[in-house]
Amino acid sequence: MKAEKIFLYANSYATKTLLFHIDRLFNTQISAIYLLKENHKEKEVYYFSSRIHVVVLESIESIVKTVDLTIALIDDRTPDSKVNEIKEQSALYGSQCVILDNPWSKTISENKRNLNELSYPTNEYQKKPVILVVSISSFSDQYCIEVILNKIFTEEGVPFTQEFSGELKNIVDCLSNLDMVHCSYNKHECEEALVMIKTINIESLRDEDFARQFLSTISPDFIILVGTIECEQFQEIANLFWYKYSLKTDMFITSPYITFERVSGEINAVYCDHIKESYSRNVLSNREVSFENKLKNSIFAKISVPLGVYVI
Amino acid sequence: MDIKLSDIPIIKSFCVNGKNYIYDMGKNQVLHITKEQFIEVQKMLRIGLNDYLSISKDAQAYKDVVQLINKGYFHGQQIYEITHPITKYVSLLMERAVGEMILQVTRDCNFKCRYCLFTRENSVDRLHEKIDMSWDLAQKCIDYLYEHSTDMNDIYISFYGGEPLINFKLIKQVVEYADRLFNTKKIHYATTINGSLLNTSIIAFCIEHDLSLAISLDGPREIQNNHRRFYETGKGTFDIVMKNVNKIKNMSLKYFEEKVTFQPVVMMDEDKEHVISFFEEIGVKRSKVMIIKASMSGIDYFYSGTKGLSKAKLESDYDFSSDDYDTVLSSKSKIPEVWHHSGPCVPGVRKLFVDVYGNFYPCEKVLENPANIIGDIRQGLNADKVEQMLNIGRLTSDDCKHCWAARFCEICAVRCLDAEHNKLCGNVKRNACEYEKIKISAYLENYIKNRSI
Repeated sequence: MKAEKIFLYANSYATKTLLFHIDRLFNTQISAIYLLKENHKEKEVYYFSSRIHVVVLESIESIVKTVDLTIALIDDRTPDSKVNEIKEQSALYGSQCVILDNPWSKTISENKRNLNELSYPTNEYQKKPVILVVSISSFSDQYCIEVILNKIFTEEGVPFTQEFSGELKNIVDCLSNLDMVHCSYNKHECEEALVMIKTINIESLRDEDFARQFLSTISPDFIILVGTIECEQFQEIANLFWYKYSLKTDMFITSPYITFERVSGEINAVYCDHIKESYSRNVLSNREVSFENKLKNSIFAKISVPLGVYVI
Repeated sequence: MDIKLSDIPIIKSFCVNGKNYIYDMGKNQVLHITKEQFIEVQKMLRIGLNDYLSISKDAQAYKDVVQLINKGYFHGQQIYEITHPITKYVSLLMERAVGEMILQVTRDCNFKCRYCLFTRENSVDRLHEKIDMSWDLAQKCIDYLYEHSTDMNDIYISFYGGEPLINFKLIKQVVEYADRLFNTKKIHYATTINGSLLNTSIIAFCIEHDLSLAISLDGPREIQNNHRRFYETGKGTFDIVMKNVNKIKNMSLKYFEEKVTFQPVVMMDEDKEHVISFFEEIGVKRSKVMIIKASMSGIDYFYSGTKGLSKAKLESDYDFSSDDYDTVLSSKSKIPEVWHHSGPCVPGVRKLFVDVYGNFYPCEKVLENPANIIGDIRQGLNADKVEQMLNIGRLTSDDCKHCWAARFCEICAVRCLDAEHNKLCGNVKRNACEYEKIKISAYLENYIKNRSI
């Protein structure tokens, strides 16, 4: 299916997250992404590639009549009347419309998953460099890190396997069904892979027995902690990994959000890319211009071996 | 002897049922101690921590107290700067996270209630007057909310008065406009009404748009008619309100049960349970009845004038079942050096109250006084005013740094206004502090009573 112009209908956080290197997610050439004005300030909307234009408009109709595909990520906050409007307008203007559950509508504690089952034989993790991405808060943009790692290894031509987070898996599965997902998200054969990428949520590691078993099984070679800007737990978690499991954390990466609880129980991600916190030198923002390069260089500096050298 | 304030332990002593207790702010614990230890602690309070430690005594009680000091108890000043942790994000939140707008759709009211500030001749606030908000202004307000709620998934739009249903036409326009304008956010509509102006078409509209109704019905006929009378005729209002309440029930029981609450104002000499029983008899669940104490607040407004209220009266007003206080007391975390007591929300972000002229206030509970204005529809929110109100503790900075009740305090700008001089005032806040401390003492005494052997 061809989709050059795509309308992302979702709340502010979900659209910004999905927008992150979206051209690496689709197998089709995207020329423009359309967003709703109520969730985006004009000045903040940019894209990594100049090939893709981001257009912000006010009404659903003005967008749907222009695009080839609407991807609607809905949750219990989404007004039914607006979803119906999208469906009707899409039918009227002959464009495709895909309705998905918003995978980012749950908080980190709700997303706790049982990861006892690893996707690959345990000895594979022992033989190959494993990159572990640990999300330590809600709105940490773990998805974005998974997407960028996929991009880095694909572009560098390094065979890899990637075990997706629930959020990325939802999106990939949906696009696969539409035959629209980028080939780099196809499942790779483990035997051919030189690197393995795994993600986990810190809530899953609160169970000490599981954490010990999990970490010793996958024995990560490069650990990335991801959290929000104001997240105070980076060092605490790094210390926990070091003192409990003798694992060194290699990188801290922040999303451009703060978590704001306007009233009790109502948690929102507030986008604040322009506020720079004073971090130590190994904390990166995932929206920094040089982010991809810095991440790539750090990973390869640690896990790569000279050409012709293999671990057997 | 010159004792530094920072050298005085930040604690509160209690004697309950002949036993001695200390609440230690730094540790956030209540300690049961012996009479001898208690006497030593009082001595330490008089001379300061350092001088007390320089005394060398063999008495066991002294040694016990020193041991506790070495374990981190009875320390002096621990807070060195009064700054709300969210201060650095204020501008950002004002720009992207305004979540609730409360529109004063009219200043007019058809009731004259005994405790309503707006009907008193000598009121510190405005009086009821026949002024409605215009559609032009209301539309600008919703546009403002649209532009400043970028990152919010839930939007709250409330209608306030006077009696909001006097300007129902505007409410209808606003709801229809907001429903068209917002595409991805869940909009929650709400209004507080006296219940007299409801009719079939208004109720149908409320049901259709899921508009939450808080009805100011005080309870049985004799109570309602005593407190709430029609402005023009002086007649009681119970019959008309009850007729309309039944109308809602008949039109949609589901809506009535889910979206309708009642806000009775209970006077000091009235029995709260009697009022609640009345509501239960008419099919209203206890959880849907929000009692407001007339002695502590007007029907709609909290007045900061706590000065002169007796301790006994304040204690009798206080409801001991405070889950929030239990949560505070369960915390083992160290108090940060840069800190601010709770209470203040981010003004204009958590709630933004707009009066009929387009002035912005932090919420509907503040007096409509120039000192409380935090912006207007033309200029937007004033960041300096918002920051000032958020950091209301700076009015009494030194007091807060040395206050034993700091962890529990819930004072916000609403209670710090000097209405006569149109300004936020440290002395008014100190009056509120006294009230707050009595409330917290009462809670801690009760906590001790429930746990003492």
